[in-house]
Amino acid sequence: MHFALSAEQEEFRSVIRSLLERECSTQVLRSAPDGPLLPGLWRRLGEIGALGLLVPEEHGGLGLDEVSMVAVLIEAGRVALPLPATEAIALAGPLLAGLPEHRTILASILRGELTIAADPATTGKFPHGHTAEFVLSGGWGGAGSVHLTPIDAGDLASLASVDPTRGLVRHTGPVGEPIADGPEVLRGWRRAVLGTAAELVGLGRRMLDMAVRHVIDRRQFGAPVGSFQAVQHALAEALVRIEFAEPAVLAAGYSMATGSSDAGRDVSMAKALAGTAASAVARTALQCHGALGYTVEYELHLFLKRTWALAEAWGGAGWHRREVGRSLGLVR
Amino acid sequence: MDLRDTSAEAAFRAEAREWLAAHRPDPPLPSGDTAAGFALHVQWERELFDAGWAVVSWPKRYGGRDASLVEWLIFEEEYYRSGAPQRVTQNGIFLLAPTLFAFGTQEQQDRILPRMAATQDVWCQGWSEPEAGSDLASIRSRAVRDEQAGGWRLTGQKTWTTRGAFCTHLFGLFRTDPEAGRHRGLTYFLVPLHSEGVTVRGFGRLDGDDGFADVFFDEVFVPDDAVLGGVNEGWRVAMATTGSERGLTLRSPGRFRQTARRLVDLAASGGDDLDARLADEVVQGWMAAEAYQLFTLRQITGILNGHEPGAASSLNKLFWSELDIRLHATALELIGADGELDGPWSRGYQFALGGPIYAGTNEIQRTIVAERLLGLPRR
Ligand SMILES: Cc1cc2nc3c(=O)[nH]c(=O)nc-3n(C[C@H](O)[C@H](O)[C@H](O)COP(=O)(O)OP(=O)(O)OC[C@H]3O[C@@H](n4cnc5c(N)ncnc54)[C@H](O)[C@@H]3O)c2cc1C
Repeated sequence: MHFALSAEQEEFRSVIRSLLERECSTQVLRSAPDGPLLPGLWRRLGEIGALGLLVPEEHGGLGLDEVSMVAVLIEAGRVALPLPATEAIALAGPLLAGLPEHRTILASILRGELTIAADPATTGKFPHGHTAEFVLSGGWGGAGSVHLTPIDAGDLASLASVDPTRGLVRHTGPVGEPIADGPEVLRGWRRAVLGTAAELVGLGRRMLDMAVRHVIDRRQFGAPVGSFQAVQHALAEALVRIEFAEPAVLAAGYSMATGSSDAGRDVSMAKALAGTAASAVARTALQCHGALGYTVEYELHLFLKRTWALAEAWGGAGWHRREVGRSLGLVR
Repeated sequence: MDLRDTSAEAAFRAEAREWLAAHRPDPPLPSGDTAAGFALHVQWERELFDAGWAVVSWPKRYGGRDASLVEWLIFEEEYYRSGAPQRVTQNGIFLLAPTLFAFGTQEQQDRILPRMAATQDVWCQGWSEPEAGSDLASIRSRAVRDEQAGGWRLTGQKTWTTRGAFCTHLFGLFRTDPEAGRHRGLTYFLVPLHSEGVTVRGFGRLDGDDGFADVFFDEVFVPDDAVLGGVNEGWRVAMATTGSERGLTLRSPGRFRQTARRLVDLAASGGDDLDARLADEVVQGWMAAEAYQLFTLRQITGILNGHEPGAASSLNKLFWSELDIRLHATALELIGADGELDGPWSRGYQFALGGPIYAGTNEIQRTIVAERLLGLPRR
């Protein structure tokens, strides 16, 4: 038994982390979805191989596994990366790899020249629609087939979202050709769910860090507010939430990487735990910031809103708990 | 990352599982918190010892198997999975023993550990006093030097002592230097309860069993070799191993996973009538037990790589104590009106409610997490 990232995985994670800390400041985040520096950041992620992390080496990727994916996407969550990294890493890369007719699209994604959005429920409503060239639609719950649709083949309208940094759109038009069905769709769905869970862990860590820093600096009644027990205990509970969600997310990555028959259950558990943990941390972080957290002029709101969006994306906690319940024989 | 058993671990697991399936008490033993029940538990503990399962992680010469931390975790998992009872020896083997290994002299280890392993002696923990609960350093029980007799005379009262009425020995903190600062003048003593001047009064816990005791000391003599880890060093010695109590040794994930499995079975036994909200509660409880297991595996990997959990054991304590209550509360809701009947779930629930109180209350743990893990300023 050994439950830790390998030295190589740690190394990769820290490369990603320092890249994102350098190039995805909250200023860059605020500029999303179409800020001028975002295409460069996407290319940098492509250059270091992150976008093709799960793609086999013979198709131009790094040939790494879902544990590495989790490690990388936790870092993406930490900066609330306003780019479709989970879509590229978890979904598009593995689905397109091995399809010779889509070799050039895959290559462009891996180089960070092209982004691709995802609409698993085929509602026509999805994030990153303004910047993406394609959308992968279908495959909700791992069933049915996934289609590759060029975005400019239909009409696009912006939707006002609480999280404006993801560029939510309504897309109408013909659905493109199917590119995957069966077990590939199921794996793709699980990877995307897991990737989103990883982002939520990163978001939770970030919001907790921000709250801790704030309550140490902010003074009232002649003392740092972080010395008041009500504040301390709320933040301690927030840490418990994150600390007990993160191992489940890593372990679900391991289940996928080893092809465990429990992978579906483990991924659903990861998403449910990470979503509720991040949402709880979001509330605590807001409360501990006082009114400062309640304004769009400060940064916290960017992370809160991303958390709200991702907690419900790819199945909310309730949806995934029902999946776990099914695997335990409690839900039909 | 590799979450599977190695072949050696798998063999160890199989051996434990097979032995436990053949030997675990069936029907289950009554509560170990009554005199009659305790005697049956002592028999069971001796059976464990005879087969080499009482203290698997200890060295062979003291009755253990030199099992690794991972093997210890596996044993715990299999132990609770088999339906074997809670261990009445736990305060000795999980709380005192780690302290003895860290601070005891060779003579103390050789004298005390084999008898503890064989359940010839059963130890209780004498920390709390009527005036010293969360504020443990305000202990008033004192030990006065008896130069002539070559030892100490203990006077005072300990309370809430788990199974104090049935145990043979007590480890406890006593004030040896009333002039020194609150934390400075304490000493860790090892006391036979049959000593002259000791009076023990058992009394009922929440479930009514005599699981609590007051222990009174009236000029009780103990020799110098009853001091563990140095005179006036008691605070440091006691705190060095609080991690064992809050963290994984006292409350390994195996028991909560077993409770979660029983809860799932209970919910499934109701057939199609299961209310959706209750089903969701069961799922949440089950997931939390799994999350505790995974947190622990990661923590153990850290320990094997040289990172002592330290204050992080407060995270364990917060989590398992709330988890235990949640699992039992959900079960009682499933059972409905019959939940008030004396039974494993109503007993388990009452036991679980103590979790946020003993081993340092959860309020105290949250403060530790805030100050030591998050780095928030002290008041
Ligand atoms: C089932 C059980 C078994 C036990 N077994 C043993 C045993 O074997 N040996 C032994 O020595 N003791 C034992 N204890 C006693 C246990 O260690 C104490 O109950 C515990 O330390 C709390 O002390 P107290 O009960 O005096 O509560 P108090 O310290 O009086 O606390 C009362 C309330 O005030 C809160 N509080 C106190 N101080 C603070 C603070 N600074 N900040 C915020 N909140 C605070 C507490 O969290 C609690 O909610 C046992 C207790 C239980 C319930």
